[in-house]
Amino acid sequence: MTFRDEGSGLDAGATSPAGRATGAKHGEELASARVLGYDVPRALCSPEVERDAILSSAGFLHAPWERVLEVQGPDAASFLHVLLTQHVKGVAVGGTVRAALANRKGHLEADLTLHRADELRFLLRLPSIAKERVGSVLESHRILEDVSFRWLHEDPDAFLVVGPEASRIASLVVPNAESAGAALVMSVDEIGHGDALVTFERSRREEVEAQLREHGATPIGWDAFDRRRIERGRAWFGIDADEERLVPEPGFDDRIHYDKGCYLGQEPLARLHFRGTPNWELVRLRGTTHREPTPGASLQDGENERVGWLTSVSHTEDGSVALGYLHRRFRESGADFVSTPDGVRFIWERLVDSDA
Amino acid sequence: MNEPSTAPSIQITEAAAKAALETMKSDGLPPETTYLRVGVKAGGCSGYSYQLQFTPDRRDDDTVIERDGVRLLVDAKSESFLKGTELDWSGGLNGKGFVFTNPNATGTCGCGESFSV
Repeated sequence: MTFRDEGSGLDAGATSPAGRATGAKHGEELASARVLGYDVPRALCSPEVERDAILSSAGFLHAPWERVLEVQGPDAASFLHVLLTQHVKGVAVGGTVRAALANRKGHLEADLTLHRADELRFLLRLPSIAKERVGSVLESHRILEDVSFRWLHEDPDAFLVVGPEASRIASLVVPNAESAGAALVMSVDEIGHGDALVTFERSRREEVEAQLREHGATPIGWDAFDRRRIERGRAWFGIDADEERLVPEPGFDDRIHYDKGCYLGQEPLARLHFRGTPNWELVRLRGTTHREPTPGASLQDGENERVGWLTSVSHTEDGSVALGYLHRRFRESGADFVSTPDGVRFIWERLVDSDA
Repeated sequence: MNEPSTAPSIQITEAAAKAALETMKSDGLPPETTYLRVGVKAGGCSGYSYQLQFTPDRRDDDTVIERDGVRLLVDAKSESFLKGTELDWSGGLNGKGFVFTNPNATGTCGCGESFSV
């Protein structure tokens, strides 16, 4: 990936970082956004209808980047426990948690959702951009362990169902779609509590889509989803975070269990948590003008010194909402505002759960 | 099954062999039918950790390394991580136990429990 702390590739107007939604360029009206390597529609209904579905009922987003890896065997729990940042052994059957795979320096290899299907079987949800890396790390660490891996679906496809009714509707769809090899992975909190991922063979997409519609879910495009994601401060691996970020920097502290003992990357992550502060921290930014800078644009302090960069931007009625990294020195300076080189001004705030 | 190797991939020191024999005796395990299995598994801050276990069972793909009455077993997959490793015994003030010196390890965690390759 090209997403870096400093230097080339981050200035406004530069090529968007890999995986970035290219549909969000200022001044352009593109029909589709490039998300994690896939083109998805920016909108399918009016913005008001899509937003209302997300906030008050359920919307479903085509999410072809979603992958699910099945990890199974007598040693599956202990194997994942020592590799992932989360307390895997403590996840009850039927439970779902967010987790991360880190390298030994504490940098992200992948952001994951882990679902325990039964005592010996786990499902790991991850974006396709992390598929090769996760597969490789798991394979290379399987030595004496009795554990097997299998990617769910030969030709996978998925819908993310989001909103207060998402869980209920997804649970209605999946039993009917079992003939299509459908699987449901409950997401703890994608952009709201109870969101769900429905995965299936690509050839059965129309069937699953028809069932979601029948049960009351509204199809939504990337823009409405992304706005809500940014408002809720939900960083996505491949958009707001990559392999150069330490796990806590994009707000992924909830992926880490700090009392579970050793796991891959534990030493630097424990040291950072108990004795330090990340240099970079993803924050939410609220812009009060209707100018929308490009993700990757630098963020500057009042003296035009670079103090961070944008990763995601979305239009709102009042201006824009964005996610971006700010350096510790700036965060601790007491300053409230940052701006892009072309003068778009933002108020920043820490990523705490917000219904705003 | 393989015969005991003449060019062992793992070296066991005299001190480690002696400590293994003493542990077998104190645990009531007969040395003539007990192997010391040495392996690698996922774990620890650096990704891989060593495993030591007394066992009466020997598998077809195990390499057997013998020294001073102690027979080490190494499975084929672990052996690729352990080539050139020396297994020693430390009884010093900083801790008592088996110590691996593994030339394949590119890094170890602070407590020495795990390594990376």
